[in-house]
Amino acid sequence: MPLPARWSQKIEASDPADEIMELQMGPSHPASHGTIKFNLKLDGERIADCDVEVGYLHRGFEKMCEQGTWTQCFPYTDRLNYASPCINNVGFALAVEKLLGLEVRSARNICA
Amino acid sequence: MFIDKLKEKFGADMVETGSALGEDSIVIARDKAPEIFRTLHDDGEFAFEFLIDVTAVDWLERRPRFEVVYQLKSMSRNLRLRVKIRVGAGEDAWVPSAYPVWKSADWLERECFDMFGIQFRGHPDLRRILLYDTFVGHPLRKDYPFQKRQAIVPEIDPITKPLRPTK
Repeated sequence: MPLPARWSQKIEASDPADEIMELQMGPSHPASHGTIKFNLKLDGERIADCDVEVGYLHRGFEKMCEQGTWTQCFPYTDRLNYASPCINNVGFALAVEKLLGLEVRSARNICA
Repeated sequence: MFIDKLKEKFGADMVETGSALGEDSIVIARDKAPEIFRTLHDDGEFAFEFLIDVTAVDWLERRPRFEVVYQLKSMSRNLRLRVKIRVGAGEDAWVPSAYPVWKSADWLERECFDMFGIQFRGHPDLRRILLYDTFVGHPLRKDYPFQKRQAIVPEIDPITKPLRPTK
């Protein structure tokens, strides 16, 4: 597999007696919060370059959303970021309301 | 109105303007895009400091086939704008990169290239970002089959090419 253009650029160590160490950190590393891989180039303890691979959790939600109705998209928006599922639900719900031209009464008004 | 200011500024370089549901969008000519991006960013009247997203729409039946969509935000002037560029299929599926104007275009354009196969000319490092290098095709195109499966990595013969060299 050919190396990416920027990643393949040669980096010199600050001390001519040393050399750059390449370290692959991840994709499952206890220090990282999720699944992500860092291809590091280390000059001693200093990070000289870092190429990030972010695709490990890519599931193609957009393509799946194309197949369903708008209600079926809610579980996907739930899972976009497990730390904040509700804000993604709200964002999607507001977009649907806007596109359909709906005026939704708040829960407070319905209960009263 | 802010969209009138745009019309005044860019005139015939804008193919189309529209405001729907309280959101403004413009369609611009591809060859004028670098100058328009620069003006939208630098001109104090607009001051779009933030490129939120770059994506594309595959219209499949329409000619030209693709629309590349840029979502812009001006935090200092509290404005939002959607900019579109229409491009064709095949060799014609390219736009100039917005990277010289907005650095966030780096990963956003890589994603758009990965998913739609749009070429961003002048991008410093245009390669796939989410999918792997050996993946064939661009999955968010409408003619990419929904159920299609691909091998995650090419098959390696463990006899002739061991995964881990033996000591």
